[in-house]
Amino acid sequence: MNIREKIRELKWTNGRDANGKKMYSMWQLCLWLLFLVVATYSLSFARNYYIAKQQALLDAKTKADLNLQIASCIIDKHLSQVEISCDNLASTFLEAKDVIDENGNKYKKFIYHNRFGATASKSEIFDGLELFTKANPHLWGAAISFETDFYQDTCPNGLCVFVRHSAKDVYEHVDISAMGDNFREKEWYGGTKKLGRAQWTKPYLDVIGELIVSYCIPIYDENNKFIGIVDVDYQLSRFNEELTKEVHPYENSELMLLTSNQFIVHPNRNYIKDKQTSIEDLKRDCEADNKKLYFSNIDSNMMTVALVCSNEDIFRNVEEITSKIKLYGAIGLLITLILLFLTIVEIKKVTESRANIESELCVASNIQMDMLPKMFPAFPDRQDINVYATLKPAKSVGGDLYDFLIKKDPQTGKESFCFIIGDVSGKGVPASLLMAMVCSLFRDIARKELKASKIVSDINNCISDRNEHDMFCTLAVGIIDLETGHLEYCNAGHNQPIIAKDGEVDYVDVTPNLPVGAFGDFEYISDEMTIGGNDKLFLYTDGLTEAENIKKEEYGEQAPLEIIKNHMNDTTTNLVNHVLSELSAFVGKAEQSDDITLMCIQFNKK
Amino acid sequence: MEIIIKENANSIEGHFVGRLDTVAATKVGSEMAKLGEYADREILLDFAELEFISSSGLRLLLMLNKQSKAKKGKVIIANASDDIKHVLKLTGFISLFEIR
Repeated sequence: MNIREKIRELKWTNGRDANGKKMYSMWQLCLWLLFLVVATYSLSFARNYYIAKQQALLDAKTKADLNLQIASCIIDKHLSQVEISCDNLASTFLEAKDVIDENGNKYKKFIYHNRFGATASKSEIFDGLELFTKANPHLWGAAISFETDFYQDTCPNGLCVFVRHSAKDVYEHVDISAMGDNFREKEWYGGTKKLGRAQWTKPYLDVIGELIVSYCIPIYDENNKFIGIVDVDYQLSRFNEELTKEVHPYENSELMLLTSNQFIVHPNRNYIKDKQTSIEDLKRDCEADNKKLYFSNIDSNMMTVALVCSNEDIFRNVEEITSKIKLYGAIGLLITLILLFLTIVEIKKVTESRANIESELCVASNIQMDMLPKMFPAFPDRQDINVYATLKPAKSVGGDLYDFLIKKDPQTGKESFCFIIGDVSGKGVPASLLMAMVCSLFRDIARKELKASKIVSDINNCISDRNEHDMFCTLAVGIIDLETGHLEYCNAGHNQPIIAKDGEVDYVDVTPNLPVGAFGDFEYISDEMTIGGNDKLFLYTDGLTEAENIKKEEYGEQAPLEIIKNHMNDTTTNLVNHVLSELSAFVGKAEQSDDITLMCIQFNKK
Repeated sequence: MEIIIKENANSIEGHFVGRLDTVAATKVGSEMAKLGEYADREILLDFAELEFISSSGLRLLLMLNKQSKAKKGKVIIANASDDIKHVLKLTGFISLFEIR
C-alpha cells in the first residue's frame, strides 16, 4: 500500500479501516445520534401523550358521572314537587291513611268520604281544580276521574274532569267523560287502578302535543273499593332549561333525557317530538360520530339521563399541552441540531488535522521500516549464515528495531556477521526518533568496531550525551565470526535470547547490562560462546513475551520455548512464522499493545 | 495504576499499586515529581503491590535515579516480586538501586 492510499484511508473516505472493519464517517455518526435523539424524544412524547389521554378520559368519566348525578337530583327535585302537589290535591277532599304493604313499605292510601265528593257538582269540581292549578303554577294541569257508577246521574260515563293551564291566566276546562270512557283503558287510569297505588306514567304526548308525565293516585271508598284517580300532569320541558343550564361539563357537551323509546330533553327540539330512539341507538350514533356517551338510569320513571361529549372537548387540555410540548420539543431539537452541526464542524477539523498527523506518521513509519532490512533471504548465495526477522508494529510508528550485516576485516580479511535487536522505552513518535538514531548509529559503528561491547558502549555514549528526557533502549548486539563460529554477545538490558544447539533449546543466561541511554560511560560486558552445526539463535523483544489475550494473560517465556523446541529443525523463516501464528492464536482479538520483533539466526560453520 | 505517597521528615515512601505500563507511566507524572522532591534524601519505592513494569516504567525509575544521584540521595526498592526482580536484573537496573 502506498502512502497516498494510506492517507486516503485515514481520512475515512472508503468506509473501512486497515483491518477491513466498517468505519462510519462523522456525518453518519451524527445522523445516527440525531436519529436516536429524535426516536427517544418521539417515544417518550408518544407515551406521555397516551397516558395524558387515558387520564383525560378518566377525568371525563368522573366529571360526567358527577353531572349525571346533578341531573338526576334536578329531575328528582322537580318530580317530587309534583308528587307533593298531587298529594295535597288529593288531601283537600280525601282522607290519607298510612298503609303498609306486604313488603313492609309504608305508603299513603286516600279514602273518599262523603265530605266533599259525591255532593259536589261538576262545576264545583272544576272550580276546585282551577283553584289548585292556579296555586301550583309549575303543573301543566290536574284531573279527577271516577269509575262509571260514580256521578251516574249527571255523567253516564262516570265523571272525569281536567283543568289545564294552557296560557297565562287561562285555565281550560276539559270534560273528558263527555268524550267517552276509553280513557279508562289508558295507562294513567287503568294501570294505576291495577297497581293499586300512586305511580308515575311513562312520558307521553298529550292531545296538544306536549310531552307530559302524570302522577296518578288511586282513590277508594270506605269499603276499600276503587272509585277513581286523582292525577296531576307535568310538562317535561319545564326542567329542560334548568338541566341544560346546570349540567354542562364541557363547552359542547349535550345533555339528553330519554325514555325507552324517545327523547324528553335534547338540544335539538325537533328530536323530542319526532324521533323514536333508545339508548342503544344513541350508543351507535356516538360511536359513529366519535363522541363519548355517559348515561345513568333514573329508575323511578324509567328514564335515562345521557351526556354526549365530543372528543375535542375531552382532550382539549391534552391537545393544548401537547402542542406546547411539540413546540418546545421542536425548539430543543433545533438547538440539538445546531450544536450537533457545530460539533461536527469542530470534529471534522480535528479529524482532518489528526488525519494529517497520522498520514505524516505513516510517512515516518514507512521511513522507519525502510531502515530495517526486509529482503529475505538476506544472503542467498551463502550457505553458512541464514537469517530471518520481522517487526509487527503496534502503532504506526514504533520503538522496536533490528538490523544485521556481514563485514570483512580489511586487515585480516576475516568475515563476521553482526546483528542488533532493540526496544526503545515507550511508544509512538518519541520512541521512533530514538529508534532511528540507534539504527543509524549501529550501521555506522558496527562497520568500524570489531567488538560487540564496544559497539554497545559507543551507541550508549552517543545517546546518553544529550538525553534530557531519559529515554533509553534495551538492545542486544552480537558478532559471529563466520570462520570459527565464535559469538560475542552483548546484552544491554534486553530479553534473554533462546539458543537451539545440539538438540537442546533453552534461554541463554547472559550478563545483564544497563540499557543504552541510561548512563554514559557505562562499562558493557559481553558473553562469549561458540556456535555452528546449524545452531539457531532466536531473538525477540518483550512484545512477544508480554503479549496479552483478552483475559489479560501474558504469553510468557515458556510458550515460545516450546514452539522452538517443536520446530527446531525448520528453516528460520518457518520458525519465526510458527511463533507468530501461535502467538496470534493466543492473543485472539485483543489489541496488540507493543511492537513485536522476532529474529532467527542460523549458523553453519563452513 | 496508583502510587500512594507517604512523607516522613527525611524520607518519602511511594507504594506502587497495579500495573506500571506505558499508559500508566504517562499518568503518574505528579506522583513521580513529588518523589523527586526528596532526591537529596531517601526515596523508598515499595513494589509489594506492583504487578508489572514496562520499559516506560523503568524510564521513570531511571529518571528518579538520576535526580537522586545528582543530589546525593538514595533510592531504595523494597518488596519487589520475583517477576519484577527478573526484569530489573535483565535490564541491569538492579545495579542502580538498593534492593531490599
